[in-house]
Amino acid sequence: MSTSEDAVDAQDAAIHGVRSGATTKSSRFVWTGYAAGMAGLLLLLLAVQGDAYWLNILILTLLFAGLASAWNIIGGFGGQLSLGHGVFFAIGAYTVGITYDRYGWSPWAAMVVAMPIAMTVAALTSWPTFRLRGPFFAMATLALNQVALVLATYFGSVTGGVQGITLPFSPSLRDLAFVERWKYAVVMLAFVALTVAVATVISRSKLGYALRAVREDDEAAAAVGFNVFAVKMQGMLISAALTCLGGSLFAVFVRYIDPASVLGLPEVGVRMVLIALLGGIGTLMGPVVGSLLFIPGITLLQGELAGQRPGLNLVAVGLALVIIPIALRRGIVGTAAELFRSARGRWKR
Amino acid sequence: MTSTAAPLLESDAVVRKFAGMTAVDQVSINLRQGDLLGIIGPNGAGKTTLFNLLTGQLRPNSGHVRFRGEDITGLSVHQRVRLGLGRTFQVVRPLPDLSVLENTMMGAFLKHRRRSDAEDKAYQVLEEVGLAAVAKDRAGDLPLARRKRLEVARALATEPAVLLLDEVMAGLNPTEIGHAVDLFKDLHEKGMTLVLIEHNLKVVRTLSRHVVVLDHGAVLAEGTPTEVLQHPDVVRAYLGNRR
Repeated sequence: MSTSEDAVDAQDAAIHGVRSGATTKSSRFVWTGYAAGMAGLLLLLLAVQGDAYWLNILILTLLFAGLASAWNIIGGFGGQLSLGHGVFFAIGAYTVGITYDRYGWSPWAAMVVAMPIAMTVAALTSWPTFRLRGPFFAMATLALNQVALVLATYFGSVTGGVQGITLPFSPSLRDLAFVERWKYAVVMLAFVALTVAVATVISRSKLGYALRAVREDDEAAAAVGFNVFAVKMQGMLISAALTCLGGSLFAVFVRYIDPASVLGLPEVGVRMVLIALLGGIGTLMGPVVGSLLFIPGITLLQGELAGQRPGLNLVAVGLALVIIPIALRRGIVGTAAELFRSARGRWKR
Repeated sequence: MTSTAAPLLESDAVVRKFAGMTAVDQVSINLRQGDLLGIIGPNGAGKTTLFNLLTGQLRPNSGHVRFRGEDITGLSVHQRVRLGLGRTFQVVRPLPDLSVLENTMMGAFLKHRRRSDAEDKAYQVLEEVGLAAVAKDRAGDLPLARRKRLEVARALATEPAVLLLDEVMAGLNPTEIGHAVDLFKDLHEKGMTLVLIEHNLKVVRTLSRHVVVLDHGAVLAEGTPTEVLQHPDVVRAYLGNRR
């Protein structure tokens, strides 16, 4: 009996670990899943490292897996659908770009400086916007992104304006610039490993439960003693810091940043949200799965369709993004977990 | 067993107006450790408004709410919960996508930072209210009576000094009401202080030793259930508009 109960516990851990946090005491299963996921990404890296085209796609896939995972902390667990995360991404990218180009700072140092800046901006902008709920919050954060876009374009003396900033290329670990492109993939993999680990720890902690309580019903959350505002703020600050880190890594990888590439909604701020939605909002591995499909998919479509009719690839992406949320309301991972759970329920009966 | 200890929770002439209509008018109640207070009254008497004034959902226009002698009128809901005021909602609101256990853990996190400790506490409470068998079910899939019980479990998991129940019997059938009454009797015997906002007179009569009757926002009568239910004003206010 005890073995079969263990098996059921393990299944429960799998379901809850993936879907909404965990209910069983064994954290072994969740972390085994985490290790397996990261090992899978490493194998992928090894498989494509000799192919410059696919390596490039993988690097961006990993970056966006990390970004979607960072967004998921406040957007998925906490249910605060921020469309303004591009701002934190841009702070990371511009801090690295400006300090490297003008003052020759190491990007490592710039990252450390950028994160508190992003967190401060997150605190100041969330202060008023957390009073808004649902679509109103989403619209307000969307507006913040657009304000940042205007500011980044207007203050050309700082940001380089529409001309952007080019980061001089001098390969070294200090400068996070590599001749061997696979090293960027390793950096991005480390970023995914970090963001998913943080998300996993949070989802199983008091903060993770509090965020979910706030997402489902903020009055009920307050009625069990959670300070709704403080809970949202904590989730937002962690999410903003990780997003900012992703922006810094983007800058050292592409070595050129301008307002459109870091504050463009389809390129960054909305893209990370769509990836999380596709993979499974509020799940731990959803953002990774979503990115593995989205980034290669959009790149291939661009190659295949853009040559035939300009913009045709975007039409295809748009269609997919309308259909997928309808067909898979909880995203790929969420829907899979639900099917697995109901199959198990039927089998038990 | 009304003790002579200092009051645990009191409202002192609280007034709450909505757009010129006075929903709660100068209501003073006094709750001591170990009490089981029933607050009854016809629909629209101001029961839920009074409840919300006690829990912090609403602030009074005038008057004070005190907990253990300390003025808590200005405190928000979560601050009052942290002091020891547990509450349930009239319309049940479990977090539907989470399991029964996770729902209960939400409450347990108030006193237990670590997840495993919160989980142990949640199991203990589920055991107490008779939901341990369905701990891993999705909360949204529970029938109403069990969802109401889950509400109680979630509030109990915060280890409150006083538990305020807003019409927990509403919508239950007589058998289910019987079970719920047993649960609250049991909790009370274990020393829990309870405030029961109820429309159902029978329930209040079997549970409470002390009853406050509200009508048009004001205290109409107060005393033991038998005294109060024989009070002519109460009969008129309560039954008059039903028969």
